[in-house]
Amino acid sequence: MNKKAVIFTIDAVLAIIIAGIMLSAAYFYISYEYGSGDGQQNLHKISLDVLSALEKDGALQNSVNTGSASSISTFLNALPLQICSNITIYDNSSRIKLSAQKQGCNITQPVFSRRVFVSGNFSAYYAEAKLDFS
Amino acid sequence: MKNNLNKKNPFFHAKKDFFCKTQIFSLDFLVAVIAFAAILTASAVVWDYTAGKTDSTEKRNEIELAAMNVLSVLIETQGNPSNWSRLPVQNFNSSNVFSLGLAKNITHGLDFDGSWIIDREKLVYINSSAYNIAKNILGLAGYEFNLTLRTYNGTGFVSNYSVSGDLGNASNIARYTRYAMIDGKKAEISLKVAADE
Repeated sequence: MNKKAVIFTIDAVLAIIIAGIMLSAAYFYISYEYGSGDGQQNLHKISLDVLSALEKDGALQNSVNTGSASSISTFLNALPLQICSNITIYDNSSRIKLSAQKQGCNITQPVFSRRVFVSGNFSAYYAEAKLDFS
Repeated sequence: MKNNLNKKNPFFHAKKDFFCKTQIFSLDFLVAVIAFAAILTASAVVWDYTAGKTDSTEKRNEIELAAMNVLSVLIETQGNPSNWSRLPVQNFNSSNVFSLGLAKNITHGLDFDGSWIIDREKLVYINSSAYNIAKNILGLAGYEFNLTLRTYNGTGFVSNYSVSGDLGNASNIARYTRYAMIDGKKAEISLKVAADE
């Protein structure tokens, strides 16, 4: 009788421990996923902002005309430290025309956004922004 | 003789069994009560912690969502009415202005092309004297906010304009940054929204 009771108690303790571990794991996983979603959403908005500002500023068109992405690189370097960014410009045959990357960081899990623009020679190009948290 | 009599008495065994079982039962019962009380106490503590944590997380999410959405509305829309910055200051209230947006009124036919181009006139209209009304129209009643604009000078961002409430005692602050254009220059717009816990 007593032995059975002990076995039952060990079973119950094990069950409680396993349930506790599973609940904790689920809680931390959900918390992490919830937080990261907001960050990615905001990063995507920033990528759209960067492309829009560069297009409205004329920096994308100037880069294509001059063949230099230095003004884009300078702007990317002025972005906050925690944001790593890359902008690549493609022509209408999807060939890479220019590329600019923020110095000193790697992009591993980027968010993408694209913007089409017309340069001075009336050709269509599109710019692709890749942003990631460094 | 007396012992023999007792042993023959059916109530003697019953009495003995009763007391033995009672003792074992009491020990089991005591262990069970202690275990139950421990689990109940632990559950109450965990419940209290989880409820507090959930409440705190919800408040944080609420304030972050408010900051993110308000900043989007400010940068991407011109407001309703779109010429709200032309209203006399005494008419600037939630009855006349339904939505605040800082984007310029640039419309080509049915297309609105003013997103990401900040209207300086609209920006400076939101100053310290219009702060409280602007806060209510933006849906930030109960919070305090700080709106800062920095312009790009070719190498970095320099302060250009700021309007702020009293964020001094706030324990919960959400900060979001977006990019746009103002006066033909690239600009960084930061919004801090603060609330007491």
